[in-house]
Amino acid sequence: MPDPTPLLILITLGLGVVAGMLGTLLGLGGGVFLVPFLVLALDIPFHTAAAISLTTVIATSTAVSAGAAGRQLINLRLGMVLEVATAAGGLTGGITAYTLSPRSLQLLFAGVAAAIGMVTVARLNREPAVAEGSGGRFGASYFDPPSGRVVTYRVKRLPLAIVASVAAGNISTLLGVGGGIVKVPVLNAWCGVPMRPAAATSAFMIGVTATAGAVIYYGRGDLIPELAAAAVLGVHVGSATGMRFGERLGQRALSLLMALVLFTVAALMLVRS
Amino acid sequence: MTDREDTRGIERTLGRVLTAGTRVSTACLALGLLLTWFATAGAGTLLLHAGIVVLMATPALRVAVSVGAFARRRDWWLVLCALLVLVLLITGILAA
Repeated sequence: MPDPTPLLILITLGLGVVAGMLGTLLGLGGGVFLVPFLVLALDIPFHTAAAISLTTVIATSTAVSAGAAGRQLINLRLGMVLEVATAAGGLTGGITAYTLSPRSLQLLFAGVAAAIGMVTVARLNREPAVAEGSGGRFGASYFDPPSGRVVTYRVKRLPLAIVASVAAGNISTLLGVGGGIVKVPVLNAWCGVPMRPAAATSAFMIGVTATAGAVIYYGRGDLIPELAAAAVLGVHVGSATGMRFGERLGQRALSLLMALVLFTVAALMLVRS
Repeated sequence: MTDREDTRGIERTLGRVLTAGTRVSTACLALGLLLTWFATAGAGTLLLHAGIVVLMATPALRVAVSVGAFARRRDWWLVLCALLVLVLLITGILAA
């Protein structure tokens, strides 16, 4: 395990700022950027990088959900049900993480990043799911500022959402990401949840998902406290900056930026492994 | 009280837990990092671990608080879900 020298701490702080900024701009936790940075640029072992990234995911989820609370965007009823699935997936991910070799973990990361990049490109010109009907058992209502009205949506295909959440939890622990990258597109494209509540509900769940994985790495002694602290502080600064930039960039530019970053990450991971 | 207002109340309560967790953990991590850097390691490392533990405990605490909130609303299905999540998290801690 690398020694946390002041230089390494400073670089990690800087990486945290970049990851937090990109993550906020693109509506993700930032883990998908932080792990490759740590592994590729600083030569940090994969498990340690995942552990550091998961602590920043908890920090982002907690801060973002605290800000969103009371605005009725978070679907608590749906969130609690799916949280059981992500937590279970997160725990089993912790077990598989230690049976897979670093090389296969890097390959898996490359594959997931490339797949998400392709989904992003494919969805560039698609309108988000339109909410319809009355709420039902898991549906909810929220105020939508762009249209200026209260939107009610019904949750469709709950079993699919549960399966996606187990997979998201698994990937979260394995790769050190939040898992929103799996849940948000599924909830939005197939389960009838509009984009804003889908992102808010996912962000709300991610804290628990990442905790399920982080405690395993932490208990194993894979987490370097100094680097985790630097990354968390950096991500807080980066998210605040990203929120200011985000309002100026168009949605299309953001999606293209996301696809570009993901493909670069996938290519680098592939070369490395 | 309507269901909508009630849900908003629970959201705010959970939001307060999350805000407190963010503030305490960020303060511990920042101070701990400064101490390990400029002073002797002992106290700094302790603060760093405290910050990480608080950070990881915050989502779990949020789930624990929501068990109480859902129980007051007699929403037993959500109580069950929240309890299951807690059991899973505790299993993870014990396994690790």
